Amino acid sequence: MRGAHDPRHPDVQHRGRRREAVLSAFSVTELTRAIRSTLEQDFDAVLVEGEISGLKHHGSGHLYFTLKDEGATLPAAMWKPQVGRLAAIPRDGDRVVVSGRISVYEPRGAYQLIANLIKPVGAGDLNARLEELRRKLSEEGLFDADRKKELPAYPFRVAVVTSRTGAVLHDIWHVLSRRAPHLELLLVPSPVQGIEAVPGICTALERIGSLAGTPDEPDVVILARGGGSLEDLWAFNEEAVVRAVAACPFPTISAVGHETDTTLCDFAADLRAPTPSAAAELVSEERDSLLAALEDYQARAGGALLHLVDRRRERLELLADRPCLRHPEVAVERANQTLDLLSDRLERALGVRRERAHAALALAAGRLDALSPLRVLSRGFAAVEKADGSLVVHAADLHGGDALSLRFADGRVPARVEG
Amino acid sequence: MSKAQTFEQSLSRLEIVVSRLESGDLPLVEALESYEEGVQLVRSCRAELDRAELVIRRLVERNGSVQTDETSPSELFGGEG
Repeated sequence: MRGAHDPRHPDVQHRGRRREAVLSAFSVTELTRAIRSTLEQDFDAVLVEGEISGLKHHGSGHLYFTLKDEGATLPAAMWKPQVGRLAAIPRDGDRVVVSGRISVYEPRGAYQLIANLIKPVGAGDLNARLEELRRKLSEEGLFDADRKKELPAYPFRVAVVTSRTGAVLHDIWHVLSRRAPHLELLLVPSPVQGIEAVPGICTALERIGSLAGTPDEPDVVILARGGGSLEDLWAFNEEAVVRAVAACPFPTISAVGHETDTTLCDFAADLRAPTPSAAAELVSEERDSLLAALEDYQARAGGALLHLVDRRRERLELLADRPCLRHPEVAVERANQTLDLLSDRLERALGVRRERAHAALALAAGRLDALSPLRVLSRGFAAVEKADGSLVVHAADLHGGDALSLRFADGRVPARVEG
Repeated sequence: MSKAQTFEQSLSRLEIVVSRLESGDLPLVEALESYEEGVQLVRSCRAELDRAELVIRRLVERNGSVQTDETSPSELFGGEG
């Protein structure tokens, strides 16, 4: 296998300096390690395209798979931290480009690709899936305008679903505490990137939903994440997350990425905010302006009341100024005077009428006296009456033997017509 | 009714009360009652705003039930706040 001359690889020789002097066989470990060094040095950053097969997501979080094409296969592994940053776990048969490095697994003498990033081949792929899902959910009515809940005018409790770490939570906290420190921020932490994002966000939204009807229920929910690539934001295009947003019983604002980023969550939410900070502003009416508004109401109410009282006082003063109220005795005097006047007139009127009545009576009495038959009789006349009392005016009315009554002023005498 | 609903209702009631007062044709007794109501509404609204520091709570699941724990900016963001 080897001669007296040093058959070893110069590089190995160089690295294995300690043993250089003593010519001896490599141990398996030594050789394997040497090979590993060589490979790792020469292939420390590779980009390889192939089809995934035999994929296994191990309980430890690591990912094992084989990359293959028509002519060869390449075992590959991806460690948990990198797996966590994947937008989605690839599936067998997926065509992908993997970036990583080649290493050797010494116990098995096998070289493998240690993957750092896995991307689906063809950038159009994600967009096509996105469009397909958008159409499906849209046809289902998940994005309909009449599903949208109205945001409360003055929220007091704001639930925020976002990463526990990172700038987004800090940005939102900063806006809220500057503008509206009277609010309550309810943090519902969830990973917002990588394979844990989808179950995390769904769970977070479910937990928020379970607050409905309790004293802890929020007035509004913000689902937030900072900017990133389409892959970074992918969780917000996953069907489960989009449905969870639509199902949230509270008004929900989607604030994912930057202004130019659009995710399906934006469609499913009740409102889309261009950035997490903008979402925080949307839900926080400034405390100072609210206080100013209250101040204004109080001032208006006070002013109106004063005005009301003033107007009544003016009316009162106007009335109090009237002569009748200023000199009430005048009215009494005037009334007295009128009374006197009337009384005089009454007196006078009564006197006149009495005199007039007396005169009329005297006149009537005189006339009556003048016409009285008794008065005629007293001058020596007598009235002739028949037996029935009727007055005899003509001599021809009388016949012999008629019984008559002669009436004198002082009495009657019976008589009879002779012949 | 939530605090948000109460607050919104109080503000719209306040608008009505103040507008009525400003219309000026209220009997004095009613005007005084309206004023009293307005002042009371302003006071209760102001009480809701009377907090100088944002409260931060954190939703946690404990023994299968969802609870909220109060936390603080320093706890969340380190030394700041």
